[in-house]
Amino acid sequence: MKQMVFRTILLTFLIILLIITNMPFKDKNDSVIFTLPGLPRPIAKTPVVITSAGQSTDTYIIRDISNQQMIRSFFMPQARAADLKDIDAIVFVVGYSSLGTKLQNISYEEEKNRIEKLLEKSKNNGLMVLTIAIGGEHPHDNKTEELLRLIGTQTDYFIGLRGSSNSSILTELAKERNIPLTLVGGVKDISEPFASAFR
Amino acid sequence: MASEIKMSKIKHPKIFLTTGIFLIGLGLLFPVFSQFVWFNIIRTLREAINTGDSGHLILASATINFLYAIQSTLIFMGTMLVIFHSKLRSSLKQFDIFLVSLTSIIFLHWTNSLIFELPWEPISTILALLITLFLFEKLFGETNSFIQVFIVSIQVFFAFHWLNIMPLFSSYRFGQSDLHYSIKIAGIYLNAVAVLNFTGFAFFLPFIISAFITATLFISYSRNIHMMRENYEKEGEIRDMRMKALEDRVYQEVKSLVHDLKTPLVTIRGLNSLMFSANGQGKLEEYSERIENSVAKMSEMISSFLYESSRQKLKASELISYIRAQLPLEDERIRFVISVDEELPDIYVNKIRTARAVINILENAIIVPCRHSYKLINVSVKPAEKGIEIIVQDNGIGIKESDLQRIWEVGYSTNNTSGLGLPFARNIIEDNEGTIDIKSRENVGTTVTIFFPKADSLKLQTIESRELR
Repeated sequence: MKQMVFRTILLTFLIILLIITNMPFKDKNDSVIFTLPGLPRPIAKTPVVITSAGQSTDTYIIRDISNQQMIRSFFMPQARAADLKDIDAIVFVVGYSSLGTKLQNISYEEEKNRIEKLLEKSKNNGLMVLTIAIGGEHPHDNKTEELLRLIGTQTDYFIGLRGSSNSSILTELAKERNIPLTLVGGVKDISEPFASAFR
Repeated sequence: MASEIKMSKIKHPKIFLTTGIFLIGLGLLFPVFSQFVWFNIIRTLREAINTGDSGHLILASATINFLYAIQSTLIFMGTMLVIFHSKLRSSLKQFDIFLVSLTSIIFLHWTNSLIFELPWEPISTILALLITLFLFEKLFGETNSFIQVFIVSIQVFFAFHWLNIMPLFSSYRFGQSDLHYSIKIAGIYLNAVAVLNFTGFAFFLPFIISAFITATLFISYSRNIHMMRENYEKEGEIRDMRMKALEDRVYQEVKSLVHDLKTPLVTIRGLNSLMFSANGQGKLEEYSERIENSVAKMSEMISSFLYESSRQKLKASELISYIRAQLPLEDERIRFVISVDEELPDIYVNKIRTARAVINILENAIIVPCRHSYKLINVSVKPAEKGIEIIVQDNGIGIKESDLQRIWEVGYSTNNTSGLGLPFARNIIEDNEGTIDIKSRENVGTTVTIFFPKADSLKLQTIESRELR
């Protein structure tokens, strides 16, 4: 009898644990969303600062795309407010990486603080803000969502990956604030909408 | 179903328990100790994107999978050491130990990811854990070796983590952590999806197969060693038993000899009393001579037995007469037909021991079952080339062809006897430079031929029968 009880408790705990560790991530929003393939006309001028919000390696992909598209840019994954001189636009590549922040020896709060200061400076200087979100598949990426919502308050153009967990957040933010949104099928498809923001 | 894990005696359980806790701690703190390696993975990823070289992606994948495999293996080994060297092992059934192990290890991984903010891969880790626990039960149950479990488990964990870098399995919730996802995204960007998928399979399949083969080999090896050990112990026991049996046989022979010594002693006593009563009647000399003969006979018997190599030149007929005196000739169920050729050469043997050997052969002929109304035993002594042959032939049930080779083995018997008589007899006959051969036909009878070389053909040894002092 005792063993049955013990086994039941253990199995229940195991099932709960499995559910918690494998909680389905946020609704991918499989409904058909019509988004812009790109901006009909440019909204920003170069040079542009490309910075990371969360210190994921996705920023390097955007830098590479920027180079391929011959868009003049300053690549500063840890850009400060003081770096926003003589530029017209800032590109935030959103994606939180715990290892990335540790590598840069900063905490999440410090990163968030940096983003807030950049946003403040952008607002004061009237800079255009582009937000790109490639990552976000992992189920408990609350920090990426938090950063998206933070930056989303001042974003002028969203580019995201269709089918990722961020796409629903981007869609929600875009609807709320009437911000143009482009959702692409794959990472390589970011080039066109990205370039459309500048030319 | 799962085999029972042998509850072998646990030596130094506290040391293993402490080691287990240490390994768990090491596993949990592993990301802290290996931080610089994790950072290098990020740098490698950046390099891959900068240069467009998918080779860097493979390198980053191999490093990250190796790190995750080590961490999982440390936590797994630590947990199993703790469980198997604590009271849990004795108080829980096997299935419950399995559940406890699974739950504990998943819990440790999960809390580790929360504390150190290093995401883990639940799907691949849990699948690897299930396979590892299955192999653990089979392997540890047979070998009781944690080293072998470690070798197998690290292969399984390493194999399953390769599934995390394959974009093919992303939709099945593999590779959801920060770095794995970044690798896949970079792979998609660099058109290296096929490379990642192929590399993932190329590492997963061989390692998982290797893990199973390794476990199988360890199990077979352990079983072989166990069998060899058992066989060795059994052989030792058989050897000891045979030695004991042989010693008992020798003791019986000694008892028999001592029994035979009583006969001349009785004679001595009798004659002595006659001497006492016949004092002055002129018979003293005769009695004294007979006493002397008895004493000499006793001395000869004792010496023959004490000094095995001591031999004497004697006539074959003398040997046969000595043997005949000890046969149960009065038993009507047994008919002895003894024929001794007249022209027999002398032989050079230890009389007492040789006689005992021949008597052993005769005793076998006496006790062998017989289908006839009476037992017929023919004993013939004939001259042979360079010696004499003593042939003992009976009309018993005979010996099977298959048993003929085994009758010389110590302890082997077809008649529920000790199985020592024939080997004992052969040893003595061969010590006296003779030979013995047995031929038999089932339900017809057995013929034993003993050959002794004639004394003239041997170099006579100077050792004579020693006087008993």
